[in-house]
Amino acid sequence: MSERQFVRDLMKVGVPKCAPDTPLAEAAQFLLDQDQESLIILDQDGHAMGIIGQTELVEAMLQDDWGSLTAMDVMRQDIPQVPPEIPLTAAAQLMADHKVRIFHLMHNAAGIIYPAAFLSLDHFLRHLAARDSSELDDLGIKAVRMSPIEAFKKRRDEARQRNMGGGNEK
Amino acid sequence: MMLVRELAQPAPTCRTETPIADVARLLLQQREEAVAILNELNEIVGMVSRSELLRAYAREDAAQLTAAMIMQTNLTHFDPETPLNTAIRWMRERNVRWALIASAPEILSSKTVLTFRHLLRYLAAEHHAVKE
Repeated sequence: MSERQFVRDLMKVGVPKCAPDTPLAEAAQFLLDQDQESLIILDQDGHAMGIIGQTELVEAMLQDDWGSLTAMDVMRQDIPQVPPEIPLTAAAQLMADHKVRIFHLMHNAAGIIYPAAFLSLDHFLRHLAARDSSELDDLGIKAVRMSPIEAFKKRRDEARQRNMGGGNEK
Repeated sequence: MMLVRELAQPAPTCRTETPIADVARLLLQQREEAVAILNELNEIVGMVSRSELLRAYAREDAAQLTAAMIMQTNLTHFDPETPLNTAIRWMRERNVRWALIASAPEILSSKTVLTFRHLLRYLAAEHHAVKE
């Protein structure tokens, strides 16, 4: 394994989010497309209301009316958190003990609590599998990140590709 | 009533002596939840899921571990005709994300699993069906 010791070395800055009224199927599609574990649900002020992940989506399938449910209907309010300065092995043990697959680092700005970064089980697997540290260049709070305009262009291009992909079906 | 066989898919496979770093790489590359561990007769002898790899990561000897050292050998399986809801409840009660799907005579040769990812694909596909 490459030399990364603490949670902050493997965290990803920037967290997948959605609105409270997001349909469950849309949330599921996002998690599949982006290979993500969960989404944080933000209210209009940017305050984190809860979390919806693969577990909540699968549990919702047991309900007869799951087709009409939204993220807010099935979210968990307790967002699992972890301090960035603890060792990665301790965080992995915590994740296993608490039976969760993601931890967040939350920030409080003027009373608004929002997610700043996350550490998922996938990050541990990538660390385990990495042949050298260059494979983890996008992880860690010191990782080089896209500028806002680059991020916008990336989202725009992804949306265009999705639209082109679905164009023949309509 | 949806049955598990309608969503289940073949799992990736590896050998008992495969290092866990390679198992992790396989699961990440294929975006799968669990890998079936095979012996020299190509029979399934265990399963390694992302959860086992997480627990292994926390061990001091992680770099020396192989699939055989961390695999689950208690291979509870569902008949392909089992209702989907029964399998979902079973997975949630045990806090696992995969279930082996096989009829009794072929338990050793089956590498078919139902995972959360298959369920999410179904959930998302239903959304597109409604939109169209």
